[in-house]
Amino acid sequence: MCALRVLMLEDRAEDAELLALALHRDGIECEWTRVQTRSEFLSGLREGPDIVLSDYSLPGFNALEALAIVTETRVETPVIVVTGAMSEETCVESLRHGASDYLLKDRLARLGPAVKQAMADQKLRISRREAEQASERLGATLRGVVNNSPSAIFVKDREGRYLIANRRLEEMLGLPADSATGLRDRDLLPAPIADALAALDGDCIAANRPRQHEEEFGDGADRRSYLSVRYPISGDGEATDAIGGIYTDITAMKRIENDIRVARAELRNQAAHLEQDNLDLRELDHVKAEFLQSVSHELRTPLSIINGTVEMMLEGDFGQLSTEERELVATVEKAGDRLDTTIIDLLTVFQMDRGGFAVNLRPTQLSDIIARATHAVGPMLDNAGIRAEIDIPQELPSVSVDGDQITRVLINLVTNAIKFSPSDTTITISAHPHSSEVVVAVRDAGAGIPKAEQSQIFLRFHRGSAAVRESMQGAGLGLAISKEIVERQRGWIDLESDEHRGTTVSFGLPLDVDRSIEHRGEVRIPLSGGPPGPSDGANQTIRQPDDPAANTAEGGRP
Amino acid sequence: MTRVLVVDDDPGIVALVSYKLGRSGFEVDSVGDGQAAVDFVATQTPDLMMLDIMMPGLSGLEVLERLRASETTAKLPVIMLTAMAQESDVERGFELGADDYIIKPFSPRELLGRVNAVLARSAR
Repeated sequence: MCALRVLMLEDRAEDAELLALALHRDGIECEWTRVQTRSEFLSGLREGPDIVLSDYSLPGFNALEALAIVTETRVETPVIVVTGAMSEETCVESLRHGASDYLLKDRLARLGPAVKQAMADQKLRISRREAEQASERLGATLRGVVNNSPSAIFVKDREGRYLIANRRLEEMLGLPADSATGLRDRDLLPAPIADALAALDGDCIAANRPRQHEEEFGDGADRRSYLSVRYPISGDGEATDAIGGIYTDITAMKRIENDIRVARAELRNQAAHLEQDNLDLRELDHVKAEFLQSVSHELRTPLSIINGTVEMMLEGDFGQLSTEERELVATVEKAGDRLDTTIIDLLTVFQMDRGGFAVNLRPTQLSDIIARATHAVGPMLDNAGIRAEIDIPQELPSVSVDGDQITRVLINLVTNAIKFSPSDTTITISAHPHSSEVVVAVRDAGAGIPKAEQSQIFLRFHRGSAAVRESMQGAGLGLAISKEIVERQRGWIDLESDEHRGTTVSFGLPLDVDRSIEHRGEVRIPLSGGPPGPSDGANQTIRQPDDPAANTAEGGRP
Repeated sequence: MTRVLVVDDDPGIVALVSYKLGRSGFEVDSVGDGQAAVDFVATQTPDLMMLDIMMPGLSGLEVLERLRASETTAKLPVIMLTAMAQESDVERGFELGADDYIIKPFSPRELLGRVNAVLARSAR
């Protein structure tokens, strides 16, 4: 154990010796220093003694002054006043000035215990102070936590008085800083707000468990939304002593939530509009379909009468015609046929746009298609004085196509070739397999098509300069429809023309056409046709079921 | 003599068909609407009926349905005549028991051929 460092304020050296001896007797080893003036005492005190033993009265100095110095310098060294003679007043005075104890020099037997007691008291005092400081620090930390929190925090007692109200809470409630503590909501806020808060607090206390709400505070643009959590606080874990609450600002979140809600509503609105547009379009489509039927009926019934009557005239049903009459009636027949072709082409384009143009793929022999087409255009070839040459290999692989539609394309191409060929020339119809496709070509020895026009040739309603120049009739739909038909069957169509050597129109059809491309038409309207009729004469015509183009070659010629 | 009843609301078509068939040796009667056709077969027995589909009042399809429902006309050969050419109508016609169909504009020669073919089939 370390020696106790003792500072003695004593003017008599032998008394100091006696004190040291008394301590020694009580088993207290000490290092002691004796001082007797104010300045010596001050410097001794600076050495940091464990205890001061002070004589009450010295020449020029005394214990009360020494005690005052100890108090002033905030040194916590215990001071025991030791005196030769002491009145009760001086004792009381000494204790009042901060002395730990006092004793008389003739009772030095008490010195040891008194020192021990003073030291113990001192130790206790220090540890108590340290505990207080720690508690203070903790309190400051907690206050910091509460005051600096971005959340509004409160604690109220059962009567609703604020025990804690942090700065955020006061801001939220629109109160001045440090104004809430000790008061109730009804002392601070307008009655409706105070009542609402009291109701929420009461609800939490009654339930005795945490409660969560969404609340709003502030006015106008400053109005903000909060998520509040209230929880009961109980010291003994049973009865609620107080209520705590934490408010989290969720204004931004609510704004986003609201934006999302608005966006959703807009989307729903747009969807409704789209649905209405769809209904309108379906209605329009329905009107178009009705128009289609109406056109079909209103134009083709009178046409039926005209063409039928003309046919009967040419066949001599009304008596034999003179050559002149026959030529005139034949002109009417051609006009009727052309009108029918134009109506069919227009209706076809209409149907293609409506998605009602069905494609029926079946394995088909191209040689059959070529035979059907050349047969159909036979009379036209004869009339124009043009020869047709067929160039196909012995064996042609079959293709999966819509035979009626491809026949229509081929008739179309040959009809065009006839129109633009001078008489006494040859049109060549060929079909040859190439790697994965069969290429069909119609070549004429006509005037050819100027380069500048070639890119336009497959456009709807395009009429070539030659057609215009020669006053040839036609709506300019044949090639556009042909292109569309071929492409719907995964094929291609192309044109090669030289202004002096003639024109070749080719189309390719894949050998392995996938059957899944069959178009799902909503309404399929065959424009003309019916099962092939019985042949009753040399001027046989072929009508393909659902194949309006077969009518191009309609009508017998003399 | 073979009797054909032509049912069509268009007088031009009636005249054309009547003339062509008449010249080919048929006895031709005609009516202008569906109800008249039903009334006609109640008292008379034609050998074949040319029946337009799109007519005001009773449509051709409705007439056909009644013909097939009645014992006396269940087997009467019927050729539908239509400009409409809606596939569903043609299909419906065959379902109801039509023997053939012709779509306008048609060739009178072809029409005659169809009539002869249907009559030959029904005679077997």
